[in-house]
Amino acid sequence: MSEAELQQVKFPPEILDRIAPDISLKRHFAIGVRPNLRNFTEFKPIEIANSSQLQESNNNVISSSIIKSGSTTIINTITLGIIENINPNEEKKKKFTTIYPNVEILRGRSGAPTDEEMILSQNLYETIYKSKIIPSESLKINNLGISINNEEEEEKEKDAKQEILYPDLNSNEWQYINLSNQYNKSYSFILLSSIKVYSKSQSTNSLFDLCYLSIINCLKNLKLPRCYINESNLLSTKISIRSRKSNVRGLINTNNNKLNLNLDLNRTEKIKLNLTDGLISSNYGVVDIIKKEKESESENENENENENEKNNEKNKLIETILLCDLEGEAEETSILSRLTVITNKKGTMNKISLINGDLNSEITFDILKKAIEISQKRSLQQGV
Amino acid sequence: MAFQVKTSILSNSDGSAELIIGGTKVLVSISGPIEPKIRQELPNQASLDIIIRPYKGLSTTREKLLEDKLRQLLQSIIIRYKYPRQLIQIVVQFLIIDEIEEFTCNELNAAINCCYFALIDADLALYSSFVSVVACINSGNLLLNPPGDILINSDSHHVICYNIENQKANKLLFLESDGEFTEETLFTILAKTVSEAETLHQEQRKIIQAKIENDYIWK
Amino acid sequence: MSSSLILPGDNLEIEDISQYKTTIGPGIYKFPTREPKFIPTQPGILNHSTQSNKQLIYIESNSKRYIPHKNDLVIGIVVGSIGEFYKVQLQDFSTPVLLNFMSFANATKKNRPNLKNGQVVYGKVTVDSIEIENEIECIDEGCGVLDDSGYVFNVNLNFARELLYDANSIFLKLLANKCQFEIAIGINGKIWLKCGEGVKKEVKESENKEDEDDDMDIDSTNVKDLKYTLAAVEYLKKAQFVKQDELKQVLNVCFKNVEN
Repeated sequence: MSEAELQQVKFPPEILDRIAPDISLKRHFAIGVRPNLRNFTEFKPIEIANSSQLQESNNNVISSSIIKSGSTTIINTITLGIIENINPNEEKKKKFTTIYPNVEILRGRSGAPTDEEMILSQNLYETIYKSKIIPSESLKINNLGISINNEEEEEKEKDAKQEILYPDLNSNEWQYINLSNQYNKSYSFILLSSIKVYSKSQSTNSLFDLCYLSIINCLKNLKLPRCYINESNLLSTKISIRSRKSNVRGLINTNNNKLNLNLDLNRTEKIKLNLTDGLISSNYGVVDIIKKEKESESENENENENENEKNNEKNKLIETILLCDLEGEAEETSILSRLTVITNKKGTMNKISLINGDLNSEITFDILKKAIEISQKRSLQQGV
Repeated sequence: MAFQVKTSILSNSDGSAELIIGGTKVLVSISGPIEPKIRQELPNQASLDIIIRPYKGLSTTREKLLEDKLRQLLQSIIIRYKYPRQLIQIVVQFLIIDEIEEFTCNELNAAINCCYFALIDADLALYSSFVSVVACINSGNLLLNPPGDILINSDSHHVICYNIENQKANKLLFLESDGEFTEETLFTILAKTVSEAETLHQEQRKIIQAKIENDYIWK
Repeated sequence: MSSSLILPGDNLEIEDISQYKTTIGPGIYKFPTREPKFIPTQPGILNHSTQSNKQLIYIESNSKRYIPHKNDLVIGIVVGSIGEFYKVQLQDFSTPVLLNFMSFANATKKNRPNLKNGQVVYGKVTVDSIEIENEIECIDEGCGVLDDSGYVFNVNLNFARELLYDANSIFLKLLANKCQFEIAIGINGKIWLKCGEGVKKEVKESENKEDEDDDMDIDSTNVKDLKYTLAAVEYLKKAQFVKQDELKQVLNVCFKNVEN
């Protein structure tokens, strides 16, 4: 049998990136570039699109934002829910509230939410709560209106003309109105954010940044509509239905506590938020780079004696660097020391999440300082 | 402030520990290295399966996020290359907690510290020891291990986990800061918690010393 | 004892590895880097001995989970077979190890023990690489199938090591005062123990039919053996949690009901 000759297998960069991300990454760094061709401390550009269409064509969407960053698109729509504050004392303790995000990463797969989606959603939920952006008071429905049917007009025109009266706007008429029990209940809005991510390859950390940005962007434009109770609802109407157990007809009260949203755009009010300008979330990775060794010098010397020195020299050539905005498979899988910072224009920070996953490339205090500095600069330049 | 720890309290798991710290009580059980399911198996290192159970009800996304944080930390501290194609299963059960739903820092802190003792009890290989501290800034004052009601009104709160090498807290392993704070405050907190972490480590040593003496009680 | 307590992350105070030939044991991890670096990874008692230009370091610690090492004597339970191998479980939920059909003393293709699931074997680890499946064999003297009349139970790994390696260990000597027993100790924390005839599942065997008169006797000795076996097991299980001076007391408590 003839000897089999082992041939060297060559992989194009895209495939090597897939099968050996760590090697691919090292080779890129050896020539001084990142796999995504950005500089070490360069963020991926972010475009914020005009998204008012979404609100105009969908009555229930009260704020929205579309963000594009490279091949990733994020569509965020905010809808409202209304809850009754059953225990007002309990609610008073919580001075701030949050948003309920639901992140969906669309990768052509359906089914139950993945861990990544759940973690992102929960992280956004907790982060917004803890940065104290939304005071509970701002979502409280204060001037609850009542719609009344103007009977006189109704006779003239066939369409029932409704008029909505608000205590603050129509104080004259308001004094004549008999308030029902329902009116005395306290209601609050809750903000539901549905985030759809269309992305091919993006690290979870940078998705968090983009989602955070989109939520903040939505909140900036958020206008809350007014609410009213339909007067006809106040009159209890009863419908008879057949009970299952007997033939006796029971009565059900349709006087459910339904609140209506006034979709009149002129009547909306801007939400009062505790928002600082320039909020932006930035993520970093920390990695060791081995610079090209200068072997010519050490080779001339006696190897046995200088082995230790040689090793020291090699250590010197390793440089720990900070990478901004991780992207792509190679960076996602092989960089384990990571950092996320949320900064604002005021110069304070709202969140730092740091993990030293790689014991070799450690995030030192100096690197942390540098990351904070870069984030703050970014806040001033491009934060929303 | 002190830990109250009991190790090896679950006879059927390979390592276990129960820890009381402040108002939080947690129980951690570790099984491993054991045979993984095919989808969990990693060719060159051990896979980690972390399950967090809340003190009441079923686990939700809140626990998922905690699991993720704990996984990121533990996967860098366990020498996973020593157990390729194996599974290490860590179950964290909270028994008593002292914070509202939106906060998880006291729980995370207790879970990290309890995992250390459980890992020690399971005799799994670790790169180094670690200890975690929780601190909050309440109207300008630094407070360690804040109870839940102070936490709600605090300006910022931080969970900090240090790597203990040679009995010194010299590396920051994990940091989770929320609220509003300046760079200066952050570094003041970091500087102050280093000594706290080292004191706690001395306590860890005492506890482990007692544990090992108990393991060899028949000698 | 306190002076030599070592935890992960502590400094490993050893001689210069470039000058001493270094052997490392459990609890020490060598970084797979070009420049060898050792760190302690497990909590326990550091054992460090030097001899001329050699040194040995290892950490003694207790654990419950067994990781196979070459030449360890282990007890395993047959849980299945794959190709030419039996799958043998050394501990619950551990990855099973392999036992070749031929790895028995005097086994030939035609004449080899046919093991059923649930049978217990005493063997020696021959392949302990973490990257591939581990293997054991039952060729050495004393190894092989352990009969069903013994009782298998688990102890901590450190206690199993003590029993197996320390010939002068007091635990078994004390037990010998109370009863006759046969014992097989696995480093994997499993012990097989049998007093007298041990635990017989069925008393009435076909061969016993002839001497039916003796049935009563067999029954009573069997029950006695069973009682002794269980008492001995209880004693060994408890022994790992008490001090040595309380050991006799524990022994007496365990055998109290049996001896009357």
